[in-house]
Amino acid sequence: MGGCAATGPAVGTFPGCPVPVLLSRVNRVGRKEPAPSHDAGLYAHFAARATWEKNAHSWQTDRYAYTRETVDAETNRVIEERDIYTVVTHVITGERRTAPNRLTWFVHDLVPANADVRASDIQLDELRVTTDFTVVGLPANNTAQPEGQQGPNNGPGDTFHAEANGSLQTIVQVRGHKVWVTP
Amino acid sequence: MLAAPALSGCVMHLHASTNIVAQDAAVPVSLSETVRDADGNLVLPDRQQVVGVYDETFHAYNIPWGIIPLHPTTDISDSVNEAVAAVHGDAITELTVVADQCWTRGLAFFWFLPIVPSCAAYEVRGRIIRVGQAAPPASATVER
Repeated sequence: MGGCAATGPAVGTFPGCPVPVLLSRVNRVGRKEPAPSHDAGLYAHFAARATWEKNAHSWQTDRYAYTRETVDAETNRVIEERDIYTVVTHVITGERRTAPNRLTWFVHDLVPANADVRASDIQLDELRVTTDFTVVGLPANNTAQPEGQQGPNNGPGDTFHAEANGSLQTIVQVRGHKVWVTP
Repeated sequence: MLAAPALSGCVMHLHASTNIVAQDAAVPVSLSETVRDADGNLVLPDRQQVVGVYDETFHAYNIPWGIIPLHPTTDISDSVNEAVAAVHGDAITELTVVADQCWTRGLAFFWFLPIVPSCAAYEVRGRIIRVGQAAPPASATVER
């Protein structure tokens, strides 16, 4: 599935976020140990998720063209018959993702004022990334046998129709809390 | 690749997940554009000198049927410390995660076998920065 083979974009980002969003315990440049900080309280926690999903719907129609016969040169007998098809493949892809700054909104709720920005950090408790890849094949009504099978089972107008849906989904789940930093 | 499952009308599914941590990183690792200096002041981009790029790919495997993660936690601390030390950086900012499938995608057709692993590749990227001196405040006096 070509549409789902592409690398997904980064979904766990905090563009335009005014305060540090820390995955490390070390919270100051130049310090080996974390500088003192204290939890901003029960209501200063957040949990959010950002998702990216790419879908592809693909269908392929094999239409019978002719039967190729292999004839023995000595006996002039037909030793093999193989149906030849014209193959048409269609793919429709779509992409859906949450807004790039979705996670930043949650931080803005916790640090609404300049005073908050000056004196608080976001400490992440979890950065979980989940990836799901799914392909579902849909059986369809066919009037021909699949290409490659030996004939002469098929005739003019016979078609083989294959259809499938695929998706690649990435979810980033983030849990964090606001801490007051000590100058 | 869609043709194979479509021929049989079947379902293929791979699932993988991991929790990324950097608890033992020796420098601040931030998903935003800022960190704090030793005095607790925000280091805005004008004081940041980008001295390198942190870019590592980790793999997370789940079995069976993607239920049990073999790597429930991916600790990037060691690789962060190495990358930052190599360029004498002070911190990492704008850390992002980019997900992709990995080689087990080719096994997706056999997903029903419990020994077939699900796998995802997670590329973790960030900017390695060095913090410069704070810009002196603009002069308040105007020469006439």
